[in-house]
Amino acid sequence: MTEPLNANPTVLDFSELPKRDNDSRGLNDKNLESREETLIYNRLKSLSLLKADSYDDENDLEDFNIEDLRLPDLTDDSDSQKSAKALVKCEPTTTENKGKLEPIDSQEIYDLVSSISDPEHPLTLGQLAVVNLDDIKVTNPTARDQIGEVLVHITPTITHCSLATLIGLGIRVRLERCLPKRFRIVILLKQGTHQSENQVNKQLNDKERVSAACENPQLLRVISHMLSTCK
Amino acid sequence: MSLETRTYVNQFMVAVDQTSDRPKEAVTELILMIEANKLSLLDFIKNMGDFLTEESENVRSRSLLLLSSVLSQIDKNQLMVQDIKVLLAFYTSKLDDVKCTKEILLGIDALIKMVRFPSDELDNLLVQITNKYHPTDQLASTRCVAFDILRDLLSKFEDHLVACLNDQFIDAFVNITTNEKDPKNLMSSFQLNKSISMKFDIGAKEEDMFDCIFCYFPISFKAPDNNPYEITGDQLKKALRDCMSSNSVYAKEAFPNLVEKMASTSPSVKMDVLMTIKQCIENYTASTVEEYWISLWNSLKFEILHRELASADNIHDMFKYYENAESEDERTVAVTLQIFESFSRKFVDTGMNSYRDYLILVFDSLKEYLSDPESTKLKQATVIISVMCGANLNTYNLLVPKTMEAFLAPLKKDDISIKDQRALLRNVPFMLDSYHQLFNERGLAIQPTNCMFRFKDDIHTLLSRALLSTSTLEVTLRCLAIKLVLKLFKLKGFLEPEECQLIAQSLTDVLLEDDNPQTFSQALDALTSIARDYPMIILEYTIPKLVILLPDSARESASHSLNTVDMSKEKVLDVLFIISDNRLIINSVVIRLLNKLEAVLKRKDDIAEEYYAKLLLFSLSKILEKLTYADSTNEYLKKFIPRFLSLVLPALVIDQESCLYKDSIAAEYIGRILKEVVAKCDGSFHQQLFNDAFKLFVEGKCTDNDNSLLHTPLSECINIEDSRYATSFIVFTGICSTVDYRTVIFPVDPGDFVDSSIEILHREKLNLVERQAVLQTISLVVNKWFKKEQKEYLQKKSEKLEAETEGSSSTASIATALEVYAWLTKGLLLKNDEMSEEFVQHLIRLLENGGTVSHLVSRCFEILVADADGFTMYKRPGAFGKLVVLNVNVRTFYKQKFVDSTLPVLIEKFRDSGSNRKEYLLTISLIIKYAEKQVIMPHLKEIMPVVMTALTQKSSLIISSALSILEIAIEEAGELVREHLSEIIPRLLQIIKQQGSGKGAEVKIKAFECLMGVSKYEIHLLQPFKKEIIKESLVGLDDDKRSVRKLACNCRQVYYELGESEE
Repeated sequence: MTEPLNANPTVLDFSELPKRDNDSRGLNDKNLESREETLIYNRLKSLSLLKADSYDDENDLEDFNIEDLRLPDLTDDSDSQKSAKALVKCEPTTTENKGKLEPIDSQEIYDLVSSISDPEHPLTLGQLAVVNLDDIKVTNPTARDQIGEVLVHITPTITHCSLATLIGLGIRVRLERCLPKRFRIVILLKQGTHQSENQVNKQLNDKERVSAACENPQLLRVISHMLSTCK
Repeated sequence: MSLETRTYVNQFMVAVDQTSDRPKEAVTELILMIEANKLSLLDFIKNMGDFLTEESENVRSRSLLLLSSVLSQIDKNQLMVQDIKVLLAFYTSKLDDVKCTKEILLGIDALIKMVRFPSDELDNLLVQITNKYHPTDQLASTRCVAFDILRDLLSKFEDHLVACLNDQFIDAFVNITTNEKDPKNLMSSFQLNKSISMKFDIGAKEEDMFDCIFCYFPISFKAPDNNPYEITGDQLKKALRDCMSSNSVYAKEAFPNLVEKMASTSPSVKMDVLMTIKQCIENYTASTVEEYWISLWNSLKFEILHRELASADNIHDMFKYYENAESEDERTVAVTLQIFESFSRKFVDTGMNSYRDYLILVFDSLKEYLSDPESTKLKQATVIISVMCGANLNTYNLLVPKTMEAFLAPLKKDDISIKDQRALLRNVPFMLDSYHQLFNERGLAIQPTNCMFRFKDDIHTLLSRALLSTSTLEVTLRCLAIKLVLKLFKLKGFLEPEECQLIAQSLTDVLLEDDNPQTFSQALDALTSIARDYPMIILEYTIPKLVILLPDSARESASHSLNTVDMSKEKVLDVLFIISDNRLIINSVVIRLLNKLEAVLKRKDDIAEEYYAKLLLFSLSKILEKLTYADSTNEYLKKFIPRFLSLVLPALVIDQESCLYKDSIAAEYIGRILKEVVAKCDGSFHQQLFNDAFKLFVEGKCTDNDNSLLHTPLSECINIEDSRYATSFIVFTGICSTVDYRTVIFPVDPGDFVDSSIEILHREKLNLVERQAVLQTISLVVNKWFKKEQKEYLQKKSEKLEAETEGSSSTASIATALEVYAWLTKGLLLKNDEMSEEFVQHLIRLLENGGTVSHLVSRCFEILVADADGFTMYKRPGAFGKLVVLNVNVRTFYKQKFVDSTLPVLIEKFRDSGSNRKEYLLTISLIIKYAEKQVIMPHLKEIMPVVMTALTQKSSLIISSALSILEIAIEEAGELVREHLSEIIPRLLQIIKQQGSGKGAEVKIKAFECLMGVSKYEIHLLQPFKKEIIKESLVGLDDDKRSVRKLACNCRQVYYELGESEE
């Protein structure tokens, strides 16, 4: 932050931004083969009339019990051992996938806010490193009946950035629109990155002032513009 | 005679509407008379006599128009030299008659086109035009004729004009073009100017000519919407640019002016300036360009140096990025670089000393950046040099040594920092791009003395430092090095074979030792790409190294050197799969994996081996999938299949201690492996293959030694009809589905075979996979080998169905009968057999019965439309090189035909029936689930009521199908959806609020997509729902699934913004 002017901020390329690590190729995935097995079973099941399959959430077909159709003598003992083994192996994985809870984590918050575009550059906050993955903390993401907290530290590109409040407000609006109500959202400037840090912090987290700002149609339009870029 | 002439003349003169037919007719008649020599030109003029000198301007101009019209349409041979001279004198004498100038000019133009136009009149004509014609007094359409005259003169008398009337012509041109503003005329002016500049000696008139050009620069003309000129701003700009670059003498005016204009803040002006500079450099003579280079360079270099350049892997990509950039400002970068290229191209001869000096000057002014890895302008400087080197071999030879030396000097230091290494690795590739440009793209001959070769050692040092002696934590550095390796491999004739090997080895070591996912995947990508072009290198080093990592048994880990990271066998197999991108490599990997499988199958004591063995089989099938028909698997029939089957068949059905014994999934993989091999070998082997398969699996003959499928005879005979060997049916299905049905003859009566297969289904206790194998085989046989002779057989089957599904039999046997029937139908349906319709109708009838049977029947429809593995299509080149499918008989539009004929019937039945609605709904949903968008579209209107009902159901399958249709309807048939919006939106919100995950998530996602889809409708339709949607979708933000939450966010954002912009 030694540069006096902000004409040329450091810009990160999109490829350099942190992403959710989904190994699309399935490297490291020890279950590639078992997944294939599940796939085979599922596909064949959908082609077979003798099955108790994925339609069992049809409550209105209750009068008709599909379980009846499963033939008790379809496989002999030695056989069923084998296939049961295979089925057992695939069953847990499917249910696991189905019911797995994916908690709201800092990467998800990052994805929400990093795509906001900067009010003065045609770049996103992620590219300008105004928001960083490490500066986002999510507390208590899973318990639905308790209050959670999302804490975002933002880093203005220069210490006297006049738009820090606007950026902060943009982030707040985005998060308020995109997070369940049980989260408290706290947006702070990273320590030592801005001349009037305390002032800005106060302004950003003052309910009254934020809602007053959101009633200003002109301001809202600017923010709307910031949010509209990409998601 | 003269009376007639007079009539026509009067007819023309009095015509009120000049565009009507009457005056035209008069002209035509007069011309006919003159051409037939019934009327002499003299008489004609006499007849007009007084009109031509009449006081009234109207009459005068009208009569002149008549004369000019006649002249312009008359036969070009008609007029004698003397006639022309007289007429020309007449016209020129009247040139200063301001009110009639247009008609006069038209007449002159007509005369010029005469065959006998005497060139000695040209001088006078040009002088008269220069002196008497004043374009400022005239309308654009008149001025246009003046340009036509000069153009016609030029096209007819070019040589004479250039030789004798140089100055006169230029003067005339300067006169007519002065103050021209009309775009269309300007186009003519620019075109004329260009011809003049190129052909005439403009030395004396250079300033006048240049003024005619530069006063228009830069053009900001933008064609109005209706474009009455039929000219675009770009055309004008280009024409002007052509003028300016057409003659080197303009240089002394052009370059200083252009450089000055470059300071413009408007990107479009800047773009225009740069494009013009580029064209000037390309067209002016070398010596001219040379004169102005320094001033150009000094102003142009900052265009690049003062800019953050986009990150691109190579110059080509960077050019592409800037050429296609959206902002004009960014596009200027590409043009600036092209200017440097053009300049470099001018250096055609190494003897051009001044050019050499200038190029060295360019280098010197960039040297401070090039030799300092920490400079912020290093990249920009490198790009400039690389672009110049890539454009011209002479420049390349001159600048590459200097640049590379400057670059690599820091490498000689022992303590070069990581940061500097990174900078080098980022920029050295750009210099290599110039090599690529010259020797790969343009295909220049590569001399052994190529100046880049001198720096090979340094590049190697750079690479090996990064790859072998840098911590694996330096991910960026190592990834850059890997990218550089890839680039080196792509350079034609750059690396020696030993060098390739060495580099590939270090890359393999990176792959095996670096566990950072990014570095790993980069290294893998690089090796895969190398494998495509240099398979031998990968075969010799990388593959053996990888296979060693595979353990011989599931429990023990393979022996590997200490520094290798622990790579799981799954990962190794995956790497092998990815790297097998070349036939040679696939061959080798397949044999190695087969060896491994043999070793694994030998160990019978451990249950964990089952997974490992299946994993190997699975990998084999995936790798073989990569082969194409062109790769031909003929060799595999002899070398691989017999050994493979002799190994796996006993394990599968004979050896009870084997870990694969009766494992149907393993059988499925084996079937897939056979499919890949059979589908890609030559069709002429198929009959023999199929006969042998029949012998082996059906007839139970295995002891004779001549079965081509086996390497060693099996210890006991197998028979797919025997429940002990039922698992092998799955393997047999694989062969059945891939042999060519047109040439291969079924060894027994196909009807009998189907009967005995159905028998198995009823008799034996089969598991799911085995059952499916039998059913699909039945379907395949019907599809591939049933001919007309089997029609009767099929009819019997159809008749018997009712009896089989009577309530008295057990549910299981009803299900089996229906299943068989559905698969028979599928076999017929796929080939559009005439019987198929009857079979489908039969199924629809059964739906009506209600109860258990009808529920099962609706599932049968899923069997009809779903894709089955047995019917996987393998394409191979047929007649005329067109790809054809020979392994199964599938007509392209069968599904469309089926949906078109069945869906309306089902919808109607759904509407009419009360009690069985659910069955119909389920059936329709199942069909929709598998049908493509185009197939459904014609039925949207009929199906919408069904969708509305379906949305109120609870079954997620039905809702999901309904939402799929809704999504299509939203996009394609908006009016249908708009009507129901008040029903649809609350319903969609209801679905979103439903609890549950898994399948529920899929439904919710579709519901959100529908909501976003309707948001594109007219705002007044949506405004009433806006608040509700935003409020109700809140629950989606707290969903268990991330994908649902994301869509909820997007959807809410869309509705928050709805209507905001208009306020």
